[in-house]
Amino acid sequence: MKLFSIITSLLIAFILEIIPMHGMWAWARPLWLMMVVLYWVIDNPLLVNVGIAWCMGLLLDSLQGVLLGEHAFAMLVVAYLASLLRQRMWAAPFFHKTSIVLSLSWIYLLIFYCLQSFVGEPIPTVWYWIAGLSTWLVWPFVYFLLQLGNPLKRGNLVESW
Amino acid sequence: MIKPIFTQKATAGWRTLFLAIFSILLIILNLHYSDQFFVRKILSVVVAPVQYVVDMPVKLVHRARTTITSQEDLIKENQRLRAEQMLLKLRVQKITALETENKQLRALLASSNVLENKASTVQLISVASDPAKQEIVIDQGQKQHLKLGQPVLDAYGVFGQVVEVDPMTSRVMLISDRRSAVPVENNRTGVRGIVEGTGFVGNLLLVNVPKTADVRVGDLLVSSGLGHVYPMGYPVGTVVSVTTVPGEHFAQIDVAPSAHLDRTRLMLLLWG
Repeated sequence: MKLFSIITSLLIAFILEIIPMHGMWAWARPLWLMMVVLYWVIDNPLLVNVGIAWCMGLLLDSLQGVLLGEHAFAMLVVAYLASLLRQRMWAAPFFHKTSIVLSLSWIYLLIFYCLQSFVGEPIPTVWYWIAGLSTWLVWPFVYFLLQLGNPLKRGNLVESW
Repeated sequence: MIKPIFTQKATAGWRTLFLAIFSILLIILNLHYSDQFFVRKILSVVVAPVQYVVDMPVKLVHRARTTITSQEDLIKENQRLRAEQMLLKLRVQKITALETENKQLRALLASSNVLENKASTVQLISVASDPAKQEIVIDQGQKQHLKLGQPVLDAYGVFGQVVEVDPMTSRVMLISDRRSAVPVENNRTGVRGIVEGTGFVGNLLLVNVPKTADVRVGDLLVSSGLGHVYPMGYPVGTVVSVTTVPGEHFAQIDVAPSAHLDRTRLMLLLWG
């Protein structure tokens, strides 16, 4: 049952990652896949570990046509940091959690930016960093939806992770 | 000291380290083999269904719209198309004459440029979601024997070239991508130049043109056929502005692409 929610949410995230967006709005695309992976890594590290996070990043690389390993590496680091912060996240108040998500998404963007500058095409605009903010804005909704879809959490939506 | 029972964190650390090294290895291998990298080909097949799923609603809306169209509209459209076809036929009559004349002239000049190209149609299935790239995914690949560097056109002009061939799909880099450069010549004066992409749809640059060169707003730039990627004589763009900066050697010339880079779903693939 839980496996079903995990797979469905990941699939939806992949679809959201490549839905066409118009012009400059494309830069504001939230890091959907990172949010979903982050949620499950903290919720259930036995099912979704850093290895799974890495695989998801690799698939995203293929989907976006960037060099294989770029998203995978960024996803891996974020998932690892999340697994370190896991206990703290459980106890933290909601606002605290969201700010952790904001910093993690900027870490993700920073890693991708560095890799892209070293080996790929350098990123042309400063609007690139807006994705962190949009991730932060949609996070509460994504979190809420994932809690709804999480078979063990339906009872207490807001309380713990 | 309590003996640790849960060693999960420790293994996660090692696993992360191993995967990090593995990612860097992958990036290096991918850089080296670029699109011939076999892992890329396998993954492209894995993710293709997601691309089709995203494309499905667009296709459904399109189909619904065609089924809903009234008969009256269809008749009107039919009439319009008939008139258009007549006009085009008229133009083709002239072109056949010109073509034979051109062939004779070329024979006189002993040049062997081929003007006719074989073409087939391809469908767009996905737009690159990475905004730093101007790429699209089309529905044909190795199965249809697509080749790297094959030029793609739409009904209005040069569109781009194939940069990655996967088993079922391929990636096409648009001429507005920052990596793209198209050798062109000015249709009015014959002056040659190179049109580069800027990373933004609808904005190209004609580069390295001296300030004194005769380039005016409204000039049509056609592909010159140099560089052996794009065939000769197809429209690439029109000049929208010419700015000269004092102290600079070259003028800054903005070009609007002729092809409908962000609106076409159907494109033409040219075969050598």
